[in-house]
Amino acid sequence: MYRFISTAFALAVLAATAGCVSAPSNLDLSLTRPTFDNKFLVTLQPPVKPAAINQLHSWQVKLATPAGVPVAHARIKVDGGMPQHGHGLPTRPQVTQEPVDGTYVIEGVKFSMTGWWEIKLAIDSPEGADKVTFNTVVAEAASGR
Amino acid sequence: MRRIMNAAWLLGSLMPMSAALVVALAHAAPPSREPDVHRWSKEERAVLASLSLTRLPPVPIDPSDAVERLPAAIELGQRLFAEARVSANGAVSCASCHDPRKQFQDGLPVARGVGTGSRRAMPIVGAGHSTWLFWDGRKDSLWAQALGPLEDAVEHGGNRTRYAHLLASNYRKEYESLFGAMPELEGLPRDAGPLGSAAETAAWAAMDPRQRMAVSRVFANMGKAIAAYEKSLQHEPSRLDRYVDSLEAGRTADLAVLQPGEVRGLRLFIGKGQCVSCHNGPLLTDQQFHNTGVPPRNPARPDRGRADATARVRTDEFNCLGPFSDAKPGQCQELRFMLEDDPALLGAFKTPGLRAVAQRAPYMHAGQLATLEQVVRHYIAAPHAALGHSELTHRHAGGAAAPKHDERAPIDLTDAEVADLVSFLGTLDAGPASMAAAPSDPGPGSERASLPMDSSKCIGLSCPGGRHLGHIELPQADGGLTTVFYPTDTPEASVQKGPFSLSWADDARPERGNGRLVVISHGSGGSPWVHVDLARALVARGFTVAIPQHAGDNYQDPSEPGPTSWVRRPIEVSRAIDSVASHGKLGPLLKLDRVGIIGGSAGGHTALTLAGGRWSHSRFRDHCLQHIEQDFSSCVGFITLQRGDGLDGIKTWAAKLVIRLRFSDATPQGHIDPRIGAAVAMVPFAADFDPESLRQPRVALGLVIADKDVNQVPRFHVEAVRAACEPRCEVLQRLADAGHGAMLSPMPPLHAGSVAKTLLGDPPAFDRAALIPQLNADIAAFFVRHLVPPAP
Repeated sequence: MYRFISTAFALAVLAATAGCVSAPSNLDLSLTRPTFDNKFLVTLQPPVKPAAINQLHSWQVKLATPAGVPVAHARIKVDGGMPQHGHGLPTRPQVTQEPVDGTYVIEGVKFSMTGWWEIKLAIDSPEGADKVTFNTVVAEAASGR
Repeated sequence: MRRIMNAAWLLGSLMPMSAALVVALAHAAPPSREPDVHRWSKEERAVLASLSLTRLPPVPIDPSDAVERLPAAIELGQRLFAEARVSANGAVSCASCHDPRKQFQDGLPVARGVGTGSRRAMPIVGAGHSTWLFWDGRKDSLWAQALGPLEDAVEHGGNRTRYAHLLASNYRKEYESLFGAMPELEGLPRDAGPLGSAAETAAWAAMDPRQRMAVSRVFANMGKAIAAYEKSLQHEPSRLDRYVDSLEAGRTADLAVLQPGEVRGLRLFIGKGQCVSCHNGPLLTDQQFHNTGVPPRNPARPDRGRADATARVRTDEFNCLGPFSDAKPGQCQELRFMLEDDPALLGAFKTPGLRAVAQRAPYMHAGQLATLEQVVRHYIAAPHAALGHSELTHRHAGGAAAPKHDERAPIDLTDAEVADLVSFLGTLDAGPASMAAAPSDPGPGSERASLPMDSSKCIGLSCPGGRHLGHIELPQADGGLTTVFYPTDTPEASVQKGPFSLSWADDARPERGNGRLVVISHGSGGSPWVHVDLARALVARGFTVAIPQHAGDNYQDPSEPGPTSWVRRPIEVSRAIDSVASHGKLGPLLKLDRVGIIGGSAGGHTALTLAGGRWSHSRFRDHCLQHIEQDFSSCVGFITLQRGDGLDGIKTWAAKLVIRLRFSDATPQGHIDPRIGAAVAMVPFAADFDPESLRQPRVALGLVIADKDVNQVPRFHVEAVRAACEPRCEVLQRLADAGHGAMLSPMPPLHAGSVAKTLLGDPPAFDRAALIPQLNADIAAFFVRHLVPPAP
């Protein structure tokens, strides 16, 4: 019924998620972003199977230097929320594994409603500390039941 | 003479056909005719659709409660829920504060048990969808939640050994069938527990640790049974659901179910009122915790809400990871990723669901606000929180400038808009009568009608489980079999019945569905198998379906068709209802004070009789003597046809002779079963009814008309009924291209050139694949309309 639409497609569905508060139309929904001080290049990978509203699910993060070299053994804290609603994430997601150097699994992600959510990562590694914020838009699937 | 050939058994299955056309026509209506108030953008429609009860997923399975889906646990839990001995004073049951007649709450600002609590009693229906229970979420399962009040000093005020003794003395058999042997309680203190008075805690501390563990396990199991019952309760559709579903289906005529002011309120709810940002989804809650600055009940001691609850649930011995949980640790992910140590949790409370909210004043977590208008005005005023920080934006906080895109906008509504929003909230009621359990006229076999499930039924996809077609055959006293189809979670298997390749789950465990029964009366010489598609459509909406075998007029024994069978058929329907009512597994799941009846052809005759129609043998005779040439097969059956040759005259003469001899009785025939609440007659045999008796049908009556019916020529039968009963009946569908056999699905093989083919075969223009599923769906919707919501 509810589907999480990956950020890659989010622009197309932005309008459909409106509800009471529309996400800004100029929202940057890119899944690969440099961190705030440009120390890392971070790629966020949504779950393969879109998760329903209020269902726990997992994301992956690929962490690299600006030159593209994977950064291993980093500590990543996950935060976020809905800026237009004044509340944070309903759960405390955690990085639970690093199956490959520079690739981290975030478990315990949950979205309690459709709309614009921020996912904020605070990264601490031997290469330094930095932060990055991703935008994502959670939508209803038009056809889902 | 009137022996009916085997091929003719399909006849009976004629009933369900015509509703699809109506819908098709509604779709075809130009959108410009839709009144403006009902005009919604595509985006708005998506939001509206997300609120429909049909979008509610099945209740999640709780791995920590192994018995939650067992009927025996539901039954025990229901008894314990109403058991007043589970209290310090013998007067407080769960139902005291969660009154099934009041939306499972008490209408009080704060709950009153043996003492007075500090928060509002929460409704229970739908609670199985919550990850965290209570206003502050201090429990992580429904069963753990149920235990909290039981040993709370001001709620039930009881203790663990008292409850264990109570179960051992009064519920031992039921308990042991679910949980195994009751531990030895001999010699244990009457009153002991870890949370009670000094004497109780001292007595508890003096017990052997293994004894404490054993008693705590009995206590936990008690919670699991209560949770099983609570989880079986489901919401009934509201007017909002009917509106949204009609909008989705394009049934513009049905949009009038909401008044214009209510529709304006709905627009505000999903629009600038911002309500839907937290009250989202079919239950109208995000299930999360928010501080919205609701003034504390006691300003001297403001309630800290969620902030104090996370540590409690983490250390709760009854949580998902605890020794009494049936879950594996890996199944307790919610605890693992629970949000703690967040300042936003201070003064935050769970978003309540809004279904039936208008019947649940006063409002907020401690009943601080008396009316919904006050609630709406609270969100406009957006006061600062007494404790922590409100998520709402105060209107004047940011000066005159428009809010930035990345913050919550203030909620600004005019007085008229407040009124509209409040009136909209009244559309979330399931119906006023539904909570007041008492059936008006129980009738025979409906003694189970007092089960509390009447307060909360589901429809279709909102039903927890029950996605498959269950099948069982119940023996009839006359040697026949009543076939019953019902919702089940058991996967189906292929079955071959005569020429039909079907599938169902044989003798599978039934799910509750919507708690209503529909009886299908098959046609002359009919079988249940030609109605499986209709039965499936009904089961998909949560109904249980019974198809009695009509004695002497079925595919195995077609020896006594016509008026002889017509007298018996309605009685056989009543017996089928009795039989389902007394079935050990099906009966407890059903409330039989409003049962549906549907039939086609001779089955339509059954339905009309149960709708209050009266007929006589002599009327049958009179019709046939007058119109046999125009309505030959109605009078003669399937044995032969008029073929335009020299034999026609002989056939007619012989038929008239027999009819004149056999059908002289002018006694009006009828049969009333007070449990029948709605009826559908498809292409009925009806020329023998007294039109006066159908002018005011005693129940909601739907008709299905097939214009190309050559077996029961419409103008003598269904059209005569329509002329008599309109406007107190409705034509569910008029199928312009359909013949008598349109109500058979699956359609049996008919030999080319046979009498059956002529009388039952689809005319070439009839689009069976498109129209029959729609007709079946419309019939199911008709019964949902008239049986699932309570009668007005």
